[in-house]
Amino acid sequence: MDTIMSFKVFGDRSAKKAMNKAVDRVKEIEEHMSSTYKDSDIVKINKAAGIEPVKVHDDTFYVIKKALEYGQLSDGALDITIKPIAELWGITSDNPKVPTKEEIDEKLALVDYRKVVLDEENKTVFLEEKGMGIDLGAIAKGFAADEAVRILREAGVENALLNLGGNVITIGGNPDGRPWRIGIQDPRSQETGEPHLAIIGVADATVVSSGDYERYIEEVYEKTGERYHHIFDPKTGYPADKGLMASTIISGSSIDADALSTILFVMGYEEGFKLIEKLDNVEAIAVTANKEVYITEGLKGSLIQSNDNYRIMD
Amino acid sequence: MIMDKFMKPKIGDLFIYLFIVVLIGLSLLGLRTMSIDRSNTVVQIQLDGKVIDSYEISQEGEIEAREIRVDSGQGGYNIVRISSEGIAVIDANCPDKLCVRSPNIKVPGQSIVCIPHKFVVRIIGESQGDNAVDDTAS
Repeated sequence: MDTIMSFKVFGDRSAKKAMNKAVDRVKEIEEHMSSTYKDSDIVKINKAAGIEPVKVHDDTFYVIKKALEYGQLSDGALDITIKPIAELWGITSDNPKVPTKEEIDEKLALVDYRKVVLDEENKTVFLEEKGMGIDLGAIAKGFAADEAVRILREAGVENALLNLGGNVITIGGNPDGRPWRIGIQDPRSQETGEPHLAIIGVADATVVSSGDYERYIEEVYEKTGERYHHIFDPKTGYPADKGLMASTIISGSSIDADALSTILFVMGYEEGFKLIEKLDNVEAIAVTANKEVYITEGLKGSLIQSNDNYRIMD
Repeated sequence: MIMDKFMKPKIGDLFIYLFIVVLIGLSLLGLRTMSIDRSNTVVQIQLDGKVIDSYEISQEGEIEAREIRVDSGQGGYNIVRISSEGIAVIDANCPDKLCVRSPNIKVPGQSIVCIPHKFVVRIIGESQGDNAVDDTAS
């Protein structure tokens, strides 16, 4: 999951126990769904691509199924079979490169979430073609967060603040009686010197941001100003380029927030908002390349602007 | 009612557990222009999830600049500089040097992480400004 976690849990001794249990559960999910752990379900599925179905843990099966549903909902904007393209670029590796169009087209032929075959009864997953590969990076953290929240709530925890690799998850509000104040990272903080684009007060919600600022090829950016980042458009095989620098989702469900922040980023403001406005319990923020900030109806009036470099389009 | 309980906590009754697990990855956050926020501020250094050192930042006047070398075993080190410009990792012998490239951190809640050395430096404290946050979605 390439991730740093921090758990702040308020409560008595049973809260501490629950917190340890939640951390263990998150680690277990990582073991099942990591693309790098040797014996993870995902590594096994990818190895058996084009060969045979692989039996997986129930949680892995559930997350893949959810991911495919998001694939359908977003018409492929979220596609867990993006792995061959991600590997080709290697943005998160030590040796990223800009591939040729031919290389991209060759790998793009292997990207299609509809070629992931699920067998509900036997809990198996099969990738139809050799060379295909899946990566749950856009959604597994969200599932892990939902599980952590479930465990903490079951133990009676009423106030907590979790951070899973940049995804902020809240239970209740701050114990001093106010909502949690969550900063939305300024996607150009290196240039503006500001940490936050805006601040939002939340309780019982998850805040997830995606953007072109997390990982990109620095050498190319410094030379040409072109930002080749790590969120790919499954339709083109290039880093998503629908006019956004960053997207944020606020939702009661972490798995939804995780998947939808990527979907919004890949689809862009107009199409992305059309999709999100149809969903219940989901709010969004889209930051365009010309530093305009668009927000969904439910957020109007509740965003605190902390940064003059951006214009909130109310 | 629950909130009341927490607003008047009985000492010994209220435990705040802060648990940090470093797996792999990084957190980059930074401020350049704002001066360091110094309301009850402590700079904390962790290795492998354990706090090994902490420094209180004086409330008044210039922050006395200091550099701290943190050895993480097997020859690994990170050098932290604390000054009025904020907290920075100015040198390290990790392979990726992401910690050295991270911008200075200045407000409570921010951290610089060196994954290869399982090293974290963070600012802890109660920030009282309008821009104070409990956490940041990144």
